[in-house]
Amino acid sequence: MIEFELNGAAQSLDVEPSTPLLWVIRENLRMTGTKFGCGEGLCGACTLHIEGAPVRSCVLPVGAVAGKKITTIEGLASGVGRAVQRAWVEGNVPQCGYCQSGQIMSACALLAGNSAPSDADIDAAMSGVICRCGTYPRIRKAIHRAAAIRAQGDNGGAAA
Amino acid sequence: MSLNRRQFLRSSAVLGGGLVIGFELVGCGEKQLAASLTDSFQPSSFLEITPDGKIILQLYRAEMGQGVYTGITTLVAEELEVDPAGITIVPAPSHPDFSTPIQITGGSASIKDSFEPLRQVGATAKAILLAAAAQEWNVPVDALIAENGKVRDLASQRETNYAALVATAKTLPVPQHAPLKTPAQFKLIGKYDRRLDAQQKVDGSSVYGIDIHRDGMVYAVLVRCPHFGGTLKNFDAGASKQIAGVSAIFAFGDSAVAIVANGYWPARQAALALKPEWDKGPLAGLDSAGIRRALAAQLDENAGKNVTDAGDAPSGDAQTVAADYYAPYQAHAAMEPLNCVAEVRAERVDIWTGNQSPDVFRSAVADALQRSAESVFVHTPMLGGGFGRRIYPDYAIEAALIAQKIGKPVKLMWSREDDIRHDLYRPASMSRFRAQLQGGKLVGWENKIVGASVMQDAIPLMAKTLLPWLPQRPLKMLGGFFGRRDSTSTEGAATLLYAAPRLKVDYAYFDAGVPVGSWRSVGNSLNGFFVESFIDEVAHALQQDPLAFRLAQLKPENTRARAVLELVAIKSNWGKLAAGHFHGIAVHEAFNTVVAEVAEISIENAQIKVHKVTCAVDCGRAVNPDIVAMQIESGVVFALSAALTGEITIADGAVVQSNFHDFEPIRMHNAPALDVHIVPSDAAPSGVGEPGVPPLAAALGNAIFAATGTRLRELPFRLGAAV
Repeated sequence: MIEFELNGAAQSLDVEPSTPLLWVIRENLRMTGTKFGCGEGLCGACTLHIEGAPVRSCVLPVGAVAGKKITTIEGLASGVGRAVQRAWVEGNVPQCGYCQSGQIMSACALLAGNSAPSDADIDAAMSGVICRCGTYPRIRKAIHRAAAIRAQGDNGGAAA
Repeated sequence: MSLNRRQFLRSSAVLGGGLVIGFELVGCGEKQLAASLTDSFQPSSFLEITPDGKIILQLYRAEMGQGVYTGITTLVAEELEVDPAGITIVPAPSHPDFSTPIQITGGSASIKDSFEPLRQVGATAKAILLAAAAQEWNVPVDALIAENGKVRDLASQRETNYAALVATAKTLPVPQHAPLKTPAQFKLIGKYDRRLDAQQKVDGSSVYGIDIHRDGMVYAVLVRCPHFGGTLKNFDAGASKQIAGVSAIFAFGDSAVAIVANGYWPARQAALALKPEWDKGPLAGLDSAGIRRALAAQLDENAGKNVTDAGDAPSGDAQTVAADYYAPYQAHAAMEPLNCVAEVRAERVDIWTGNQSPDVFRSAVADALQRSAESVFVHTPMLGGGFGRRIYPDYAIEAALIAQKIGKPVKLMWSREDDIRHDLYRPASMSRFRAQLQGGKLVGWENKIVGASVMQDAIPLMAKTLLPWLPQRPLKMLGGFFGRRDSTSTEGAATLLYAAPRLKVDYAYFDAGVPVGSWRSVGNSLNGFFVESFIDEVAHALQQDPLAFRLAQLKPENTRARAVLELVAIKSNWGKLAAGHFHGIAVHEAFNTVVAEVAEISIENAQIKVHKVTCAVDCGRAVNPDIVAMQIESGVVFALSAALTGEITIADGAVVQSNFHDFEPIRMHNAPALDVHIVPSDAAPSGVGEPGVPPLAAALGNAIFAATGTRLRELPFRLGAAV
């Protein structure tokens, strides 16, 4: 049995430890907000947080997360998370939206550790997540906007 | 009114891949789509208002990022006088009332085709609701106004919401032509910018095909022969069977092995452990170099078909400029790899999959399962990208056949490797130009294009959907006939924005055997690159500024092209650059929309760095201006990957690339800043899903020439690859 905490809830699963965490979350737990894009850790669509750090779950065996705290897009409840989601909606960031869970989880991890990221910081943190719809400039702008929302002490609530 | 099927044949635009709306799309056929509740008010198949006031819109186009979920809803909400955010949007099933004449999302046509008909849907419903209130209150209908989901009596200020009027509205006749608003009355069109699907796409709740789950569902993957046209000789499943969770392994068709398991991971592991033996088939030994040589030979030896032959060759001496251009195969590579859930039962078949053409999918699956199309139901979720790939039903046929065989619901999943290696690619193409110049002007232009035809395979599919009684052989002949005349191969080249007294364009059809299909903007993506690069060569041969030359050479009637060129020049600060920065410009008309782009680059450490792309677009009236901007931005980045970072090459009749390590798209760090400007227009909307793509590669190549003096004539651009 592999035990871990997912979005604040304890999980105990009888799964092969070598199964990538992505498939346990999507198929065993039926939480489909975290996406499959490449299976090789190249595209970032599968990004979630383990103890707050961004991780590509398609190449992480579930055995490695025993005892850890995992957060997926569905469980994003922090001030940073709400600010990011609000900035994304206000900035009309998503197009097809398929990569956006990975983009948002990556952006949240960036902002949690760096409250005023530079464009170079954004490049470094975000270049692992591919968007075929080309939303990169809007993502960049939304990250700066989310940082500003946080700096104003304003965490979320309804989009303007 | 259902369209008489014979009328479809008169519309050559259908068979040429275009969309025609030559009839009223009021959605009131004999078998109108059933309302979800029988006591709903349903003035047409598109719209239903329930007794408790829920407004349900059947979305008859696929949302794949391009914004129809918001755009089409905006059109209905405008005339119905409701908040778009209050409408419940459901994906429409395949139904004749939604066919124009095929229910397909593509050709940048959704808003163009919907602008009047979907406004009519809203206006018709509003007219009936007003009539219902007039009847209930016994007042003339002119005394009433509809606003914010309510009807109000202007004199007494008495008001009621739409829900309360449903019972009466149901009894009233549907007017033939309810009046539409004038543009001066628009509250939403041209102003409403809030994407209605944004929230679900930021909180993980948006459901894509790959997210669908059915009780009792199993997972399937296919191990496909990597060599196009090759077949399966044998396979050793010894190691695959050992994988826990695998329930079935069997040959599928003549070139694949199916593996069924209780999850994607075990199925995928079993696929990797399988030892198949392939007969490489007719394309064994074929590689990109060989395809290139064959294309070049076609340019020399194949006269092809003449597409345009206008004017006379210039008399007297003329300077000649000549060049050959080449572009390789390109993959769609949407972020959601292809997938399909299929459930096959005796009485009905259900397919859940991201698709751009539910009736093509429905008839293709029905055909494959040898049952009636009426017994097949296609459910269209959000698409994680389409770009033209999801027009083709191959993955749905695969899922349906596996589900039929094993008697359980099946989720067929393609790996990223499957998705890249079994695409229908933008055709590798060559384009030969010869221009004559006299007196500082272009006086003659000859262009021969060589490549495969994307209509060759698409025609049989489309025709089968429209004419299901037509047997295979005529369908293949139809495909061949259209393949040789494929207007999508010459779109953007057969006519020019520029005046050239002599214009000759020919198309030589050549099929290397690699599967090809519609790739965002289709022939425009190739011809935009070829034509706008060569026109730049002409400008430089005449020692004229590329912008000034284009403006001087435009046909006088191309005022929209003139306007976007002038606007993009202003907004990009054309000619005013920081040291080491260079501009390139291009303009192209596709799907009735004109886009001009300026790329600003520098060369750093022998690398091409794209700082910014400025765009100007004339798409007629912009229904949701920010969504228009998003689509142009999207087309630019999509085209930039194909211009700079990724290509598909062939070795031994198989695709070389497999995942994002060797098929690299643009990422955050090399994405340019984007700046889009919309030309104000009162003309009917003309679509923006694709038009951002065609000018980009040329704008970039022209900037590279400005920076280096080297003309790059093939994609992707590589410095040091002087041609």
